[in-house]
Amino acid sequence: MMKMPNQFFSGLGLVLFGATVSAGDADIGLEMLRSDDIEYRSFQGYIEAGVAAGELRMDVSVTDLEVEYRPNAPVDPFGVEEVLDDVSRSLGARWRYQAGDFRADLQGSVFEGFRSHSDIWIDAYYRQQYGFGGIPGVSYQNPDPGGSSLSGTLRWEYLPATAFVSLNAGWQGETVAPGYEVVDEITSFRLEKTDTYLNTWRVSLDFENALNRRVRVRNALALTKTDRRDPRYGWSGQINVALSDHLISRSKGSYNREEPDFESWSISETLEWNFHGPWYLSGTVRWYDDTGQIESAFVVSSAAPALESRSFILSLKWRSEDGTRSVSFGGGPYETDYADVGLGTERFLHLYQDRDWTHLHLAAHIEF
Amino acid sequence: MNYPELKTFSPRGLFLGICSILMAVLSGCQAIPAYEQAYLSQPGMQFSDSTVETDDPSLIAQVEPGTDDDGGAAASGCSACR
Repeated sequence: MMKMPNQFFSGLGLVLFGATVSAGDADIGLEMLRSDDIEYRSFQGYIEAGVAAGELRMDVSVTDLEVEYRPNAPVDPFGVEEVLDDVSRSLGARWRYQAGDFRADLQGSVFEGFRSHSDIWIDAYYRQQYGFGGIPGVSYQNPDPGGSSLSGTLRWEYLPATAFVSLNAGWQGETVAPGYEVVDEITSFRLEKTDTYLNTWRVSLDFENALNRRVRVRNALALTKTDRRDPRYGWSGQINVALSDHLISRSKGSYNREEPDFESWSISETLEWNFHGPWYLSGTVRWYDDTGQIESAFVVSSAAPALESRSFILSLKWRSEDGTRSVSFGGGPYETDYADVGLGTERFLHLYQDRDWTHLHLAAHIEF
Repeated sequence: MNYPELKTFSPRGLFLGICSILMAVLSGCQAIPAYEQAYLSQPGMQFSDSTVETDDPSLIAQVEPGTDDDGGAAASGCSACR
């Protein structure tokens, strides 16, 4: 009875990748994040299988976003409430080749749609302000956000099954919804918009090590540069510890800095308990804190103020004894608290308001 | 003669220095034999792409500008912040 899924995916692999398909795996995940006025629903999945000279993986994701837009009436008296809806999609592929202790990945993706509720909210504000003319200069244009990315990774396994180092380099080109601003030319006003196409370059160095028979560690340093912005430096780390035969601890931390003043930190702790046969229960607590992106409280801006967030996720997992199939279901509360908006950002008061979110997820994985 | 001003303290340099030391301290220098890898090979001890093994919701990257997988630098929502 349980052989059927494996045969199904093997057959699907044959159709997708040709006749020389060997072992592989597939993964799907459904996720929902909702508050009183914003809701994300996403599907993501991948299928990976060995082909003649390596492994090929195909990724797909679809995210449905619904936002109840509310203008801040005192500073935007002509703004109107409306429901914003958008579906973003991405499609990716990765080719992996292993030669001795070295492994090379080449991956690319294309995507379309608004990436977040902030993007679609800010675009709605500018559409309501400048979508009907009235100020000389550029006109508001309906955005068509989307882009593509390419990256490559080289990993060296310098101690067998114990220590790895990876170098990753990538590029992403993205069309974004522009921002608009009214320029005072002393005798008149003129409307200008920001760039609509941004290039992002990223390089990262990852270290993964097994320190002893119970501890596995990963550290990554990353440098990201986007057009018109200063470089962003980041570190992320994770340490997994087998506390006993049935209890595992996973601790994570991250730090990012971008000049002139943006910094973010996060830390999380997961305890996973194998309470009965193939059944596992895990709980994750997480804190996130940043300094915000506002450079001057008096400059008109859509930049976010400082943000603190906390979450607690409880998950129930089932893993088959042979490790080829697993399912996870869980959820929990997620809370976001923003600092007060400045004078220049108060038109986005309701975008940057505190929210209580609920998160739910369902995921499944199979090897074939 | 004018000499360039010396920076006595650089937060970026301190950060990179701490990370370098951490990585050096936390890097393994001895292979662990296969018969001692029973704990390490458990699914919960792996660094996995699988959505089943992910502890943090992926959608929170849409809310937190410092959690974006791409480094957060694309941030089209902040296209007007400069």
